[in-house]
Amino acid sequence: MKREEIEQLLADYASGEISAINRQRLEELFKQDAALKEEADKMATVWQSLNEMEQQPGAEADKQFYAMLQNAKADQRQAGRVVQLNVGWLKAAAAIAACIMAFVIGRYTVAPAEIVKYKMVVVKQPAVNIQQINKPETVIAKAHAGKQVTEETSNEGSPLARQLRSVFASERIDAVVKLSAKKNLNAADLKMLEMALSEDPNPNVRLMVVNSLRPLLSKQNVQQVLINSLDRQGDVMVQTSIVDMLVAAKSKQAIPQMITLLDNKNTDAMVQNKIKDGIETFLN
Amino acid sequence: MLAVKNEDLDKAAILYERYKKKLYNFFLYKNNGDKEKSEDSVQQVFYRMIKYRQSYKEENNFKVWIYTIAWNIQHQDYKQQVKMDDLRANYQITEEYTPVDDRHQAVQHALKLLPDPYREVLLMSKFLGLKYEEIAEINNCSVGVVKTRVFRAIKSLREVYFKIS
Repeated sequence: MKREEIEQLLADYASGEISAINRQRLEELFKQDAALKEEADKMATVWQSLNEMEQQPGAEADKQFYAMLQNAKADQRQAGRVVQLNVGWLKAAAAIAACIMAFVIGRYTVAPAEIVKYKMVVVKQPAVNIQQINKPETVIAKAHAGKQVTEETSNEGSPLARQLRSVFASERIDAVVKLSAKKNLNAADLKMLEMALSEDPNPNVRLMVVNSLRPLLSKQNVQQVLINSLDRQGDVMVQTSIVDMLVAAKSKQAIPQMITLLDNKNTDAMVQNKIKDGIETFLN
Repeated sequence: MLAVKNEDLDKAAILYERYKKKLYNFFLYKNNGDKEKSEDSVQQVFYRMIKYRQSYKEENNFKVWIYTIAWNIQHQDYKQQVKMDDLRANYQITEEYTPVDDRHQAVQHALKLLPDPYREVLLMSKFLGLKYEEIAEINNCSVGVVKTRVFRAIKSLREVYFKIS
């Protein structure tokens, strides 16, 4: 065995870190060489003497270490708090960012709501048959009036009634002319003319109605039709014609409607003068 | 140490209790018996252990890792010592070696006289409790070389020890 190898075995022996196989090999060497055994024992003694020389650090060292450890833990807690604060701040920032992103994404991904423009379309239509407007009343009237009502409603679907509801003013005027040409104008016909006078949007049609009623002015019911329609007229010519006719017929029942029209600031001055003259005529 | 790395600093106290004596004696022999300086060095080791705990890796051998810290501290102290020696030389401060009759001090003196590689492996083996394989890994040499150095270190000490005895 080489000297170097023996030295390594002695090092193991002295430190006590020798394996069983190496110990056996070394003991065989010791049997052959007693000096080697003595050398090994001395080395082991020196090694052991180092153990005896080992010292403990002082209590002050322990105190310093634990103080240092406490400081480290305090720093750790503080660092944790800082991280926690940062995280809280980040959460708030993230929430705001998410809101902004949601708004932006929503703005560019969702189709904008359609802009609906409402347009009012006014369609001028001929006067509607009074029986259509006041249908429930007509039904009640049917139950109580018997024959007369049947007669009134019988003209509802007549060609003239349909013509009076035409969209063309010329046709409505023609219907009025045809009605006025009838020798015996019944209540239904008068009702249709009243409706046309009150509701027709075209002043020419209404003027034609007024003109068609002129020959029948002596009748109370015709006068009543004119009186009823007076406050519904907006056209100066129609108003003037009706006032002229009522004054000519000396219809005193028309005075309240005339005064109402007179007090209306929007009433034309010419109409107002006509009314004043008419009322004076009544008084005289 | 992994627990310490995972912010369980209370576990550092366990490591301290386990290694303080070994490190203290290691530094004691390195510092020629200067107790105060050795205690400071031990504090430094554990201070750095906690400070740099995140650099510890699971696959690391803790004893090797702690020795590396101890060696760095000792190396820095050595540099400072050299500077101090230079200052002392400038001011012509002389120190005389006083012969000692105490066995411990004699062994310490003998250790001081050992060549650095011998003394280093002896201290690492004896006081830090490192195995020969670990010492070989640190010194980047074979286990056989470590054992030979340990043998020669003990042999040198033996001569001093038995001469005094």
